[in-house]
Amino acid sequence: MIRVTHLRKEYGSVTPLKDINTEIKKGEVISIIGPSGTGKSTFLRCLNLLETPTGGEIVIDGERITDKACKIHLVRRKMGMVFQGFHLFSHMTMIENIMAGPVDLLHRPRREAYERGMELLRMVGLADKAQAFADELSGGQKQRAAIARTLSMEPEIILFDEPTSALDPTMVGEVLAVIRSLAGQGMTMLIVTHEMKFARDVSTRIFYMDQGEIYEDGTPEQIFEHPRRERTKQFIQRLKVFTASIDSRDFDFIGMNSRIEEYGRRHLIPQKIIYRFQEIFEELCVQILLPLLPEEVSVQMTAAYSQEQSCMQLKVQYNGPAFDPVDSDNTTALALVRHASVKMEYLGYSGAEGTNTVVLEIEE
Amino acid sequence: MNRVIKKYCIHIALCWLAVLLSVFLTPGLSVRAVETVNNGAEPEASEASGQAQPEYGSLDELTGKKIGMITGFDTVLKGSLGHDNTFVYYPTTTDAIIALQKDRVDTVCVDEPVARLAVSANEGLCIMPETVAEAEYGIVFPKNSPFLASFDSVIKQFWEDGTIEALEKKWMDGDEEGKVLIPRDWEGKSGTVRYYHDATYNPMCYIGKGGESAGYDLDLVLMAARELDLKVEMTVCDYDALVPAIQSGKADIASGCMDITEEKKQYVDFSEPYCRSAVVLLTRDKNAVKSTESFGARLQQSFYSTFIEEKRWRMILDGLGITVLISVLSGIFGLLMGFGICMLRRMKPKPARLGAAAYIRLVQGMPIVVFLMILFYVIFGSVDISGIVVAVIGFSINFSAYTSEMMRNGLETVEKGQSEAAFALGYTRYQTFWKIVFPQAAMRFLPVLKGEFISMVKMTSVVGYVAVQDLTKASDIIRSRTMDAFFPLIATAVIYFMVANLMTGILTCAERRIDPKRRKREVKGVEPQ
Repeated sequence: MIRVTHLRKEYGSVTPLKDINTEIKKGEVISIIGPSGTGKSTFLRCLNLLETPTGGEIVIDGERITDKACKIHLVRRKMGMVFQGFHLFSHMTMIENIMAGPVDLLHRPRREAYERGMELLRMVGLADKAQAFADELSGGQKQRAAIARTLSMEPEIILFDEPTSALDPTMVGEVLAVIRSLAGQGMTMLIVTHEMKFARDVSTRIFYMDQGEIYEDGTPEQIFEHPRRERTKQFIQRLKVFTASIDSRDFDFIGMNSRIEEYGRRHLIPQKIIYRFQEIFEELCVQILLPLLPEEVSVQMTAAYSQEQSCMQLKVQYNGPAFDPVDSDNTTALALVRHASVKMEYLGYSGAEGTNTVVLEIEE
Repeated sequence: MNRVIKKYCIHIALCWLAVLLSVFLTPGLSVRAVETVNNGAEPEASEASGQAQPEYGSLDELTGKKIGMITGFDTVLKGSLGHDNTFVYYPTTTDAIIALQKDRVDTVCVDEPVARLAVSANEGLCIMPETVAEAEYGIVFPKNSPFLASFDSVIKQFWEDGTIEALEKKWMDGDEEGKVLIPRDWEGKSGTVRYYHDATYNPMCYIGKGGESAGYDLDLVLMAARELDLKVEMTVCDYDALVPAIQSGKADIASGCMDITEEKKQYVDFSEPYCRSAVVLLTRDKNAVKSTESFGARLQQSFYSTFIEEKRWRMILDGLGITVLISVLSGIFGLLMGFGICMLRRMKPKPARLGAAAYIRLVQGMPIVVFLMILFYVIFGSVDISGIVVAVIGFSINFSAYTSEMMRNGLETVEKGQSEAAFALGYTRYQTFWKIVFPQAAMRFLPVLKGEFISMVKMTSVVGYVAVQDLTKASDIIRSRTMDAFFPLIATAVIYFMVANLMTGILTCAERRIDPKRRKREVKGVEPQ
């Protein structure tokens, strides 16, 4: 249905897409994952020519859209797109947003477009918002309406460009539910997403993109459980494990705390464990260790959460002379650390550089 | 809708209140000015009442004083006065006389016939006995005009056969009834002259009964033309624009009680003098007594002389029509041109963008009066084109420069994502612009545009400079005729206010119509179920 060969995109000095080659069949649901800035969105936007490729060829349903002569607006009618920022037409009500395409482009009678539009709104659970304007809706509602608008053109393919990234965490679920139901109906879809669990559940195929190319292409099982290539492995590993390093006394304390919170949210870790993790980070790393360390500070934190045991393993490594936190003079901080963790063990001092290692366990 | 109407009523009521207050305050001011003068006077002055006593008796007393005038008198005055006077220039003699009454200037320099009329129509003014200079008025011709010699010989003949004397009698002394131009009943086989004249210089050139042009100057030119068998096309024009009209070739001859000076002769030619008079100074009369007429009666009198007498309301109405015509046409063309400029500004090729930007800079950087005069007297100088057309062209260009920037800003506020969403649905660039981007931009730029349009309506009051008789010009003409300083001004202000308000109302309605949030929430073409 879609064939991409040697697709390339350059902007001046940067090259977000180096060489993309792939073939997509009807009915496939493909999630595109990968680190930020590796061209996932650019790839998607090239597929409907919102970005003009610098080189290569894209063929959709036998039509070579990279040709100058191609009437791209006709191709776009059968290839919908859902944006991160919703982009609902703000001068129209929801039902008008949904009727606009069929009436203006497919020349459907208004009555018919209206009925079909209401049906779509019911499907995404927004029938009561038909007469609302975009600024009267929540983010999740806007995105569901935008999906309904895309569906109104009866597309054969839908491109989702990070559909939940701009949403409040509480609203991600409602949007994913709608996309999930579409996947169930056999729609061909390409989804750029950071929601790994969703990607894994809903997709028939995963593209792992890295450094401007499809680095690994496989089933969700393969990519998430048995990634074959090095960078994929690292990426999947990083997803599950939280790592952070402090290399200056003036590091971003608030930023670190919010990273911990986000990690917790992504992996559905109980809030209590996250609080304790944050407490240990503050008392152990900031209060006890940082003042003792030499000028060239180096603290590494690695955390991993086990769903089965609902328990978090935390490893803290730091430089300087051999030092067991139990010997700290800061008794208050130490007491708090002991209170937050069920176990704290000093594994000793090792290596030529001299590294201390402490392991902690946190339970709910 | 009811709320809107109510809001408007309150709005209009408030404004009327302000207007009425100003009407009440203005006579108060003028009375105070007269009283101050009275206080300074000697007690015996009251015994000599009925006898005018100029505030300044001789030219020597004027050292360091402020002298009001229309352009052209300064050269004459410099000859007879010292050099430490401040000259204040006014667009019409009437304005200068108002300034004198309001103590803004100490004396006003005018031609004698005008001075006499001003004294008879205004309380508290008199003519200084000492004249400034002798003055000779001539008809203005462009350099090397074929008409000059023939007019000269006719004027010479008029001096000899007593025609001039008869004219003076007819226009300066005689009763009002006789003050009509000679009938234009000759064939005019020898050609046509285009004659531009001022109309704010009673009794030399003004608008008389029923809105007909009248005056000594006009009568003389017509008589000379009859003698030469020439057809005359008459055009009313601002005094300051008479010489430009001649120089640019718009007019073959011009007059407006213009005195012959060496300075002017460098640029234009003058005929033999057709009237010998004097330049005099008007001053306040120390013996003036406060009017005993009630305020109401004075207001009534002013109303009568401004609107009813000689059917002057017709002139006001015609002027109003011209003002509205110019405003509306300029609004429409300006909007269309502005849209074009805005599109050029948004185009990819650099020359188009730079060209449009330069156009906007150029137009915005020029005062509209200067721009209009350049258009009329320079660019269309040799084309036979109506001042109204030039005004519409000028204001359209001016309006387009402003609206294009407003539209551009409006278009830029529509986020790019919405265009992308439309493209992704399959809209073409054209459809995206008209269906998605423009309606939203219009919502945002219309309120600003409304303000700009209203300010343009008011700006059209300068079209008198390109020989168009609009509302302001009509009121100037009436003021010069009645020598009533205030009432026509305030009446004009009220009319402008009403026009501006009406237009604001219409545009506000349009604005509401396109604001999607304000209209009924129902789907067009689909009956509610």
